[in-house]
Order: sequence, then structure tokens, then C-alpha cells
Amino acid sequence: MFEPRQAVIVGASSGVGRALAAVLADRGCRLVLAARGARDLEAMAADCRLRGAAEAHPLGVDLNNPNLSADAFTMACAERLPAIDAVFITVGMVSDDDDGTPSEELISRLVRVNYLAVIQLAAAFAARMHERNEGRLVLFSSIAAAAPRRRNVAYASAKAGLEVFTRGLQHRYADSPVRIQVIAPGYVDSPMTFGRSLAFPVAAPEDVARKVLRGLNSSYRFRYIPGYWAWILRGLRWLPWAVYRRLSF
Amino acid sequence: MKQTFHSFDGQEQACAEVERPERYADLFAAIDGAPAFIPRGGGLSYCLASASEGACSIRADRFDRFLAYDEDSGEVEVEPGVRVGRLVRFLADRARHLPAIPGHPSITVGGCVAFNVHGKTQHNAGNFDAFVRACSVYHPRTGEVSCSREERPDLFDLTVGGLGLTGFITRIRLRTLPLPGTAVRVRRIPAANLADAVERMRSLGGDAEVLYSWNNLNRRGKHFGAGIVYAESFEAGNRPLRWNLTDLAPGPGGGNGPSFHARWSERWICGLYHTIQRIKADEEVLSLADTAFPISGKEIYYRMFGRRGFREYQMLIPPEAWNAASRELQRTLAAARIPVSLGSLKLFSGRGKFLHFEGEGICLALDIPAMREAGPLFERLDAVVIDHGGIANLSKDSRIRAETVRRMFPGYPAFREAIRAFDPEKRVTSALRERIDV
Repeated sequence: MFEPRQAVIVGASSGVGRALAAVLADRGCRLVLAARGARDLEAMAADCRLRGAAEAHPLGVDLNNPNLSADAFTMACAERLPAIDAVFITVGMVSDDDDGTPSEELISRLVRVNYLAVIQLAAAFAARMHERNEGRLVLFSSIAAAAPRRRNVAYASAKAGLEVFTRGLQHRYADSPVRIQVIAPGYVDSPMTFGRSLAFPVAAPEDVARKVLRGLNSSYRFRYIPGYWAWILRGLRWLPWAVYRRLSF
Repeated sequence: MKQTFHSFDGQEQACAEVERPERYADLFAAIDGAPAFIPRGGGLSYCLASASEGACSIRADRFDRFLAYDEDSGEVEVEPGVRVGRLVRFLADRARHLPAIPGHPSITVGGCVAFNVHGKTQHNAGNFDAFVRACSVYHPRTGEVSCSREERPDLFDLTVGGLGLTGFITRIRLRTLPLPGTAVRVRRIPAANLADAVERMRSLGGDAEVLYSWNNLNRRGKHFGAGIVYAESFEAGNRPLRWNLTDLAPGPGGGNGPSFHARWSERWICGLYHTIQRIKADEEVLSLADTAFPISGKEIYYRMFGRRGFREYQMLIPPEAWNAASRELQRTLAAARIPVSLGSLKLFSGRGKFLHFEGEGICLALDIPAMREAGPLFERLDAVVIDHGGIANLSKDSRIRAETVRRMFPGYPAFREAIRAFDPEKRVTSALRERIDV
């Protein structure tokens, strides 16, 4: 039964990342909490310590920074926790202007935050885990990757790219004890969905976090959470284009 | 996003913008970008204190973290969205407690500060302000400012019990007390009528940590207010803490169903409850987890009001005027012929300030179904309270008007002046603020 003892959460100040931090802290895990806002991270780290985390280290990181060094970041994590056995990269960024005609700057930002920076970090963490001969790496895609729509064009393509990258990475480490998983959450109660009128129920981040942690002991490489999204997306994939193009979801 | 907000009693509503930031940068941006705003905690006030047609409600849900805990002093620092249920559990795990907490675990600490709430321990623990050491408040005009009794006492006084009108509270530092144990001795003492209940409570006051009563105000004559006095005190030894705290969604508390609190049913419901309570042991030892939140798990009481909702009147009458006021109250209720779903007494101490529901006296709360006759009855109750030098609890009242508040609260003009001086552009506003004109 695998239970993370030293974990890194990238995107720990919000949504599922924050919920993962809270659940792992309740279980006494040692944590590195990475995100942008220093004050949010300090608050998260304090809360995690008081919940029971043996250690909780805030670590600022801006995935939109073109000069981000994945090696430096993984090194900084390792300085804080020497035996990291689980890494969760939960970041995701959407924009109301991502309608197929976004500015060059917005495309760069969406692709960098949702794809480029994530694969850099994932590759760096996977290599370190491979050296240590253990570890779980969990990356977060989106249902948008399987059902792109007019309001998340660049975001969906970035997440689809992430899924393809991860498949390659899983193949690369197929013979290693390092296990890499991709989670595609459905609608989660987060800033991304707050205030939006949605066709399906919104899952609580805490529920998603618990399912992700349970999944660490499963052999799956990809999973929708909640699971019924697999059926919904299968249906959407099989829809004739003449129907799909008329959907406004 | 626009949303329709209801007061918990279901009587007041407003369609307003709402934001639920998760990060501090987003919080400050939301506040600065709104023409007017009001912080929103659990949304469980009986009045509409956290929404207004012209203001953006800024939800504090995601600011629900514990920021610091000092093992030596027992002081704890939290964000405003922390629910009191979680706070009590957190403290109990560290052998501490905070006695001045309201009856339901879903209420937020920010809400407790904004209304300077009281618990069933008011007679010896005072109101929530007795436990607030310091807080920080963000207002677009001043930025984030820390305040305490030593640092910016003017802002501290205006914030604690200030109806949330000084801005978004970002952190609250609380003092706590050592927890004598997790075993609580509960005594149930029958009371023949309202006067008897008060007498018994006065005689128990010194010994009991928690003291309140349930009274049947539907009884007539010498049995008016017959009921049970509950006295709880910590017992040596410990009991295992099995917390089973329930969530309470923001209003309307009555939901959308039919009302079971009606003239025909209330006598039976109250009679049944009274009988059940009398059958229970006169004395038993329970755990803190069983006694900390008496309303938790009994939310069906609110649901039974249905879509019509309910109204609550909570009054505080000075001790010297209590006998006369209670006689007048009995006459008023008898004449109104309205079923009273709940009557409950507490003993109060201390001195009130501004619009705080605090002072020396006897506190009586009564719930009635929101029927047509409720409005005129509550106006008559206002007159009884004013005539006897009492005050009403603004957090429990969704209809009280500015003129009535002015006549009840000697601190009304001072609060109005101070809050207008602090926030001249009314950047922070709520339906409550508009209604009572502060």
C-alpha cells in the first residue's frame, strides 16, 4: 500500500492542489507546496503544519516565467525534502479570451503554463525519481483535451499535448519503478468553474484529491475523475461532427 | 456572477454579484474592483448581513486556514472563513477551548467577529469579543490594517461587532482557555414556568459553564414558559471525542417544503419535545463533542418551517425590568394567538457597545412561523423591549427598522457616525446596513 511520505504539489494554493495538500497534511506527510503567491503559500504551509504535516515548505514558482529552470526547481524541492516519493502537478490556466483568436501573448501564456512548464517539470522530476528508483508522478490534464470547444481552444490543445507527452514519458520509464499517471478531472469546484452554468455536476476538490490518492495504488496510467466522465467523453467522441459543432457546452 | 441571496429566516432577499476568490491577490483585486462589497461567511445570519443589491458579496469560504497556534499561550490565528466547528475540534485536540461560540458548527469565525456573537456561556464567558486579541481588515481606502485593543483600538472597536462594515477581515487572533476535560455533566432541570426558569438559572449560574433553557411559550396562565433548564459543566476525566458535526447550507433555512409549524401542530410538537426531554435522565455525563453544538444534527427544526420560513426575536431585558417585561410579553403573545415554535432563555452579563447584543440581563429568543400576523406581533414586541430598556439582536432580525434600532441602542448614533467617518463612500454595504441606515 503506497502512501506518500514526502510529496511536492505544484499548484498548491488553489483547487485540487490545495485539497491534496490538506489531505496529505492530515495524514502527516512532509510537503513542498509550490505556487505563485507567497502569502497564499505561507498560509497553506501554516495550515498544513497545524493539520499534522511533519513539514510543509512553501516554494514560490511561476510557471509563466520563460526562464523557469526545471532542474533548479527540482533541486530546490530536493533540498527541502531529500526523499520525495510523490509529485503532483495540478496547475491549469484558462482564459475567457481563449476563443481561437487569442493574442500571441495569451497563447504563449496558456501553452507555457498548461504544457511547456509542466512537461519540463515532469521530465525533471521523473529523471530524479528514476535515479532514486521510486516515485509517483501525477499530472493533471482536463476533459477539454478529449472534447475541445470554441471557448478553450489553446487550453484544450495544451492539455492534449500534455497527455501525449505523458504517454511518451510512461513508455520511457515503463521498465522503471517510477509510475506516472494522468488525471483528467471533470468539472471541479474551483475558480475555473465558479459562477459558470455547467451541464454536469461539479465535484468537490477534496473528493477529487482523495480519489487521486487512492489511485496511487492502482496501475492505471490515465483516469477521468469522477469516472462517469469517461462515458460522457466517449459519447462526445462518437458524436457526428454535424451534431458536435452545434453543442454549446 | 449574479446570485439571489436569502437571509436564513427566508424573509429578506437580494440579487447581487458574488465572487469567491481563492488567493489573496484575487481577493484584493475583487474588492478593489467592486463599486461596493460586503464580506460573506457562512451566510447563516437570520438577516441579510452579507449581501446587498448594489454590492458584490465576497465569499470567505476559501480563506479558511489556520495560520498560527501558540502552545504556550493557547492563542490561535485563523482566516475568517474557518468554521467554528473546525475551530472547536482543533482546540479540543490541544486541550483548549473557546467558550463564546454560537450553536451551529457551520458559522464562520469571521461572522462571529462581525456580529460579536454570544454562546450559551454568555453569563460567565461574555461575548466573542472577549476572545478576540487582534485582527486585520482590508478596506480599499486603507489597505490591510492590523488592529487590536492596543494598536488602532478605534478600528478594532468598530470591526468587532461592526456588522462586517469595516472591510474584509483577513486574519483573526483569538485567545483560548485551557479545556478542563472532555467530559461534560449535563443537568436537565424542569421549570414550571418562565419565572421559575429564570430563578433556577440564576441559582445555577455560578456553577454552570453552559446555561440555557427551552420554554414552551404556547402554554397559558401559570404554565406560560414551562420547560427545561439545561446546565452543563466540565467534569473531571475525559470522554472520547467522536465528532459528528453537520453542515448547514446558507438560507433560506426552511427550504422549499411545506410548513409543519402551524397553529394546529405547534402545541403537539412542543408538547412532544417537552415530554421527550422530561423522560431523559435528570443528569448524565456526555462528551464535549456531544454538547458543543446543540443545533448540529437538528437542522430538521428549520426545515419544518418550509418555504414560508420563520422569524426570530431575540431580546435582552435588564434584570430589574424582567418581571414586568415578561408579564407584558405573556399578554402580547396570548393576544396575538400565534404559535411559538421555540422559546429559550439565557443569562447575560457585561456591558454592550454600539450595536452589540450584550449587557446585563435576561435574554429570551422566540421563533414563530412567518405568518401574516408575525409582523404586527414583532412590532408590539419592539414596543415591549423599548419600554423596558431592552435591546434586540440585529443578527436574528430581518425586519427591524432604523428608527427602532435608534430607540433601542444608545450606541446607535455613535456607531453610525464612526462607520460613516471610516467609510464615507459606503464601499462596504449590506441589506442590513441599508435597512438600519448606518
